[in-house]
Amino acid sequence: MSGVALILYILFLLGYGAFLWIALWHLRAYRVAQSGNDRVSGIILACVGLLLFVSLLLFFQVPWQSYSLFPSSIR
Amino acid sequence: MITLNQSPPGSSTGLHENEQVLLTLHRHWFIFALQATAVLFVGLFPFFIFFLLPIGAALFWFSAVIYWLFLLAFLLIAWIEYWLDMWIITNERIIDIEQRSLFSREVSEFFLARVQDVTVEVPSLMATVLRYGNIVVQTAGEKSFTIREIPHLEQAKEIILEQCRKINMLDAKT
Repeated sequence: MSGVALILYILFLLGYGAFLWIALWHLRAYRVAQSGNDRVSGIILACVGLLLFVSLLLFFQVPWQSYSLFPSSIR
Repeated sequence: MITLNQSPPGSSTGLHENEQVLLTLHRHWFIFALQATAVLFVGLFPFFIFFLLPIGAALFWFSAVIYWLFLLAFLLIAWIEYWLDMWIITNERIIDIEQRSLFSREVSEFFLARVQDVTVEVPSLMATVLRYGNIVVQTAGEKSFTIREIPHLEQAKEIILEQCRKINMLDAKT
């Protein structure tokens, strides 16, 4: 299970990173007026960074070996 | 005076010679605050579930963090839609940039010389308290433009009417 979880987690991180890259590119490409309100996107991105770091820490805390994708009766 | 760091994307010509930006308007901050509050409340669900159900702590909090990351992604999209949705009033025209979703946008522009009527609407109690509302601009064509949920209603209306008056006076002289 730990191998599957790791693969799924890496896929999630890659997908989330791609989403962030697209969203930020979009924000910069189409922004028209100069403004100090970029703080809001900065705060959201800081929260995202913090949560990604926490998710990384928690991922290695989870005892993945004790979980199974299928119930024992199927195996 | 507000300076633009680039031409309004999607507008055919960018700013003309001698064209000045008089006002840029976004929706009132309350509109985004409503969405942010909704996200905050939905984000509290894992805490309720944690106290109600006996779930393994590490896996539960890992799932909760992934859930919060999805909520933040939603909030980021809401912010981008809010921030890129704007109206630019210049001394020649009004540019309406409508951000419908992350990748869908519509840019309309019309010249102030075509403006026939400007109406201010304050649609609700909250709009009255927080002083935001809609401006409906009727043009000589069939299409009317509605600038929705913006602050500084009276200022925007005055600027539009003042510029229309100046343009009409110039037209009358020539």
